[in-house]
Amino acid sequence: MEQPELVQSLDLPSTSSLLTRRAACNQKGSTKAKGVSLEEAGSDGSEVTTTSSSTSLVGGNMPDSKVASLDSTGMELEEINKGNERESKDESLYDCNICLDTAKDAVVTMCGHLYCWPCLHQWLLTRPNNKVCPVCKSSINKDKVIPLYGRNSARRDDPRNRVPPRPAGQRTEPEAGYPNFGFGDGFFMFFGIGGFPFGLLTSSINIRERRPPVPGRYRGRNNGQTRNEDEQTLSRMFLYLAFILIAWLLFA
Amino acid sequence: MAQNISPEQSGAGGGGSKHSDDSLPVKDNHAVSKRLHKELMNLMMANEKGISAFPDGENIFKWVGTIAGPRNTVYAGQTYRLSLDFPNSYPYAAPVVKFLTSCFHPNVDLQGAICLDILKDKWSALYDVRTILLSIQSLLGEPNNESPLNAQAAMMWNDQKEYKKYLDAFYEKHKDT
Repeated sequence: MEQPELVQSLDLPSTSSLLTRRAACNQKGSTKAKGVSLEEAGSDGSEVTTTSSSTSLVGGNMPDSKVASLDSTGMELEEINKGNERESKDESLYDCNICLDTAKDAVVTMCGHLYCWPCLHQWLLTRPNNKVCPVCKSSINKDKVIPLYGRNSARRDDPRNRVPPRPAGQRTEPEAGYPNFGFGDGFFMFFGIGGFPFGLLTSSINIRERRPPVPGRYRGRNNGQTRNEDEQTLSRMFLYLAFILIAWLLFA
Repeated sequence: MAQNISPEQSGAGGGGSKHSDDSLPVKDNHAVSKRLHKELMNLMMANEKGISAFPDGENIFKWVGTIAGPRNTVYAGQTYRLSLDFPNSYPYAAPVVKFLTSCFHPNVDLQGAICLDILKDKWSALYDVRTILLSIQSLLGEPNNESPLNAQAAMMWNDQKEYKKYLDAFYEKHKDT
């Protein structure tokens, strides 16, 4: 790797001695003169640089060449280590900035920062009013994110079109004692008002809780959303009714 | 927070992930702990001077960190222990960071709560334990006296000699904590 460069500067005494130390392990016992080795080095390139002044001078002194070889293996090891370091750094170049893992379904923002699409999607969802790049805080949005396709990426579709893995809604089933007497959602209010203080409680709780459409129940009818809204207005109405009732009880 | 995104919004693409609805919360937790494990590895490899952190017992979601008082400040020579509590929505939401060692500082209250923008509204998913601890370390030397949690400390900050004296007395008093 570094040899060609050294060959070019062979005329400098210091580098040439460096080179020869490195070379000593490759061709032990070579007795070529320095001038010859230089000539050959010039004509044949790095391969030939294995001949050396030190070997020619010491003339096959084994201990010395052993030292030299040990030295050079040390250097090589160092080089390998450096290479590995570089490699691991290269790997982390393609890590998602959010999960710190190698980016899956990689997308890159206009500001050049790499993310897994699921990670970035989640980030955008957590702050719908303040969509900024986590790294540089420049404003980003879904349509300006560029998907990246590697050569062997199995799926060629746009990662943005896939619904990313997301946590399921934190919906808990209504507990017992929260009656729903089979009249369908929304009608249990009637009972609530009968037992007035508890009824008030139920209705007020109900109004704060957003009810996600129950999976499976409204599927196919496509009106889960409107049902939900109807329910909300209904329960609000009953809340007002309850207030009027209280007022009436107090003042009557 | 992240768990409570309205289903209609994120499901707009056609409900493709419904097959794994049940396993998802677990998987999500797994992603959080995976990231925390990665951070722990990075932190141990980086061997940053002046800061350290490690999970507190079995639970990877609770860490204890230490920071050394920055040099050339009144806090030099002190070591502070902090607790880091990671929510399930980490790194989309910031961890709750508190001083365990009592700390007399304009932006730290006597219960250990820290007023630092990156732990509140300026939080970014990019920040990790290392950057948090480094930020707190630099906060020690450069308090924001505009919005103090400890008004007395903010008032005294201008006179550093007096501050240092008070600080020494403060630590003498709180030696056991």
